[in-house]
Amino acid sequence: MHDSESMTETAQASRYLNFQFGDLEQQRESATLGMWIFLATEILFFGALFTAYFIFRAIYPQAFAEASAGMLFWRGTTNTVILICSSLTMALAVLMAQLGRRKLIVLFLLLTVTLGVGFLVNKGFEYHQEWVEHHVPGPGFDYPQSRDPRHAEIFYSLYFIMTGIHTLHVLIGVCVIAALAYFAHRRRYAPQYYTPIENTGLYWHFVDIVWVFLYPMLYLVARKHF
Amino acid sequence: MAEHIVGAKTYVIVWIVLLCLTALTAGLSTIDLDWHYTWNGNPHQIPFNTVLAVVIAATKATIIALIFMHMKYAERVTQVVGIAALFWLGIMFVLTATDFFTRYFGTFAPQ
Repeated sequence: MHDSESMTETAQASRYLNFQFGDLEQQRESATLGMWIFLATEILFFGALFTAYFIFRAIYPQAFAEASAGMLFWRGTTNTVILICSSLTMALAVLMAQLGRRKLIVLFLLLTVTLGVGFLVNKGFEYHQEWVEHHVPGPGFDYPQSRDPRHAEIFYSLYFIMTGIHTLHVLIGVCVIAALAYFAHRRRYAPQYYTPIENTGLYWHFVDIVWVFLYPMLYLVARKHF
Repeated sequence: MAEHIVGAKTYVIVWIVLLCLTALTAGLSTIDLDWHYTWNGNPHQIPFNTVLAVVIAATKATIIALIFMHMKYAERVTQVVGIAALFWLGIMFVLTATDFFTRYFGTFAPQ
């Protein structure tokens, strides 16, 4: 015999539960596990680029230090702070989803989107300045600050590939989080079901972690010499 | 295992710690901490600046994974996937490095 309250709970659970899962908890844990398996592939994807960086820096430490001296320290530091703040707002959005505070979910998701866009704009100005200064690898590359510009170019190649792919991840994240804000506004999520918010949060924090390593590897190599 | 709800206060503390570690790594990068020494008549150096930068970055990453990404409260099988990813990353770094540091550098000395 069900009383009316547990009837409501069962009806709500069946609304969010896919047929292949025993209950909502199993469904949620499976989704989190799947997301972490995806993130494991992402870790190895970025890891290969970090391996290339590590090897080339070990071979050409002088050229890498001279190349890193040309990086825009304050652009990089600002973006580090922006991403850390956006991780906080994303974590709070997930918390509000757990608590079922719809308006606050939307607020924190939109704050995260704003910070993400701020990151992209800042990165755009940075790329523009590097383009103007001929720091983009290719026929136009020019780096007279280094006695070894050929190998300084390797640093800038790695810089543009690593930050380029990272920025693409931020761009995708911003689009997904904006969509989540819309769906949250449309009451699609509830404390029993907020998997898209939780998993997008995992993705966003992962993107933050990648930047946490990119920042010292790219911006902080040569500051002690200047 | 029931879901674990982390309070807003914890997230804010983590955020402050991450900002402090960012300031620390940016500040340390302006000081020359590298250790230079001579061994068998050849100059060597241990790049403590780089070592410290990586240690701080790894600390930040660990804090983000444990608290923001709820790894601390996750199912054991999910934790195993995270550790497996780090293990594979370790294989990639270590095996690639052994090749370069024992063969390439033996043939073509770095600068």
